[in-house]
Amino acid sequence: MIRYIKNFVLIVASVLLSLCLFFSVVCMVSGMLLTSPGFYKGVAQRAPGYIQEVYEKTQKDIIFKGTLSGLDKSVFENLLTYDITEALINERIDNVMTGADMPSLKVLTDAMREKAEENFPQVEQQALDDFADFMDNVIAEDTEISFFPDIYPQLDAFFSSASLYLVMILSVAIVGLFFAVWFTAGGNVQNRLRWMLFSVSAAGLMCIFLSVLLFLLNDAAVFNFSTQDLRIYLSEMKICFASVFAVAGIVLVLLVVIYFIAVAVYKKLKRKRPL
Amino acid sequence: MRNFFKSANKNSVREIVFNLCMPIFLACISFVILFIVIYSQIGNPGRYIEILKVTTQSSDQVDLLTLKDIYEGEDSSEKVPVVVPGEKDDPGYSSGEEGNSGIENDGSSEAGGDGLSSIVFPAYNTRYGIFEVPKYNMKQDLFFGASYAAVEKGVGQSMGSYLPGFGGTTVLCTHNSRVRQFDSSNPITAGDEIKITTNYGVYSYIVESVIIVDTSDFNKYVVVSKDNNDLIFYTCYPLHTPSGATQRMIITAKLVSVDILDI
Repeated sequence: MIRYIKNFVLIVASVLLSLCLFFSVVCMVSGMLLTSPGFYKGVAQRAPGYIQEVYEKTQKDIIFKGTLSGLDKSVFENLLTYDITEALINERIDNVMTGADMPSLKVLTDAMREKAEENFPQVEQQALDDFADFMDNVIAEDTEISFFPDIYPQLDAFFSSASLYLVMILSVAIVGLFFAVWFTAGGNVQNRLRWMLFSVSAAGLMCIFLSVLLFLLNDAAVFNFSTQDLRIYLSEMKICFASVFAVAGIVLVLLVVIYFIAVAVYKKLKRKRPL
Repeated sequence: MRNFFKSANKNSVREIVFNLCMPIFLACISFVILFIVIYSQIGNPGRYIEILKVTTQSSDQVDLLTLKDIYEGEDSSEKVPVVVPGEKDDPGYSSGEEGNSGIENDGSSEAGGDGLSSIVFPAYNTRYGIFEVPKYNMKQDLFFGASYAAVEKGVGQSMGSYLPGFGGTTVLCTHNSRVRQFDSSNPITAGDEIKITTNYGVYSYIVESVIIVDTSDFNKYVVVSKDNNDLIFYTCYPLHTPSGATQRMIITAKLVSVDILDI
């Protein structure tokens, strides 16, 4: 009877250990990715057609809102290029992440101002400054990833403070569960270690399951609420997360597999060694 | 390889199977526990996606698609119902709100004259013109979409109505606090001028009537028609009431002159 209870406790402890390890990996991976500007910029560059979409939208908006001022359409045509759009997107990501409110790419507003001055020398400097500010806001809004400025402060707060508590709780839980498994597993050191590694590989498998689920997620249905450019962006972000979880899972599982192979080889060599 | 299998006794095979199956078993149990906890705490995740869809239905994407359908009539064989604020098809519909009668587009309405065909349609909640009443020297920004955000900043155009110059009725609205002059010692009356300036043209209207109606009668007076290029402007009444206005001031104006800008 005691043996059955002991085995049950061992299984429960192993399951909890797997869950804690899985949460640790998920938190670590998400924290690393979601607080890195490189990740957001990389996703924007890799997402097929995202920059092109933003470029076309911003180009139209510059012409439409620019001509509201009464200036000629020619002032606003060919101002924006694909490369400038890319630079603007990167700049907006940096602005949101650093909390700075820098103006949009100066090259663009300067070019616009220059053209306006050439075509309309009678326009007052103050009016041009006001107009440049207005256009700056238009460009900033267009090149920003939708929802990102609203969501990022919460993510940042979570990963900088709340996740600290989570990491502490998880660390304590993991250490406690390691001991629980160690004492309930019984047998020799190898058997105790083996039970711990079962939990590690289970966490790895869960990461792989999660990545498969993410890969299979239907973007068209899930991201249906968003605009076309945001949908492209979110789909790419989903693929990035799925890939990273897959890599993390495979690494954990491989670590365990390598351990078992090493133990098997060691045993074989030990048996062959002459007395 | 053959030697390996020969040397492997029953116990070691069982051990290998156990080593392989145990992590999978643990992972499955963990996943089931995780699913039960998530489901009991937050319910079906699909529900949140539905909520997101509903709350963001007035996004640029949805409105621009509707607009494109209305004005460009991409598929002329298909009748496209116009989503009018206040109608049941409108994502932001709520009973008791102002609304217009719905209209259907037969795909034949062109985007104005030749000069207007190259216009880039404004996105929801963007400023696309200036609403002007010369009598009071009043100028207000004109936004596309009669959202709360738009009327906070200026005058909003109902999504189901036509842009000035596109052949149909233009319906505008704003907070009563923005147009208090209309009910001053020098009230707005028939014959006063209203001007709408956009980047493609300047549209001048002459006020034909100013009426005050109950909210329940609102739909009778604010009717969008594709054959009538009138301007209908409405706001809450009395104009000096900060909240709880039960009436609406409806100003109807006739288009008298158009100055198409070269775009």
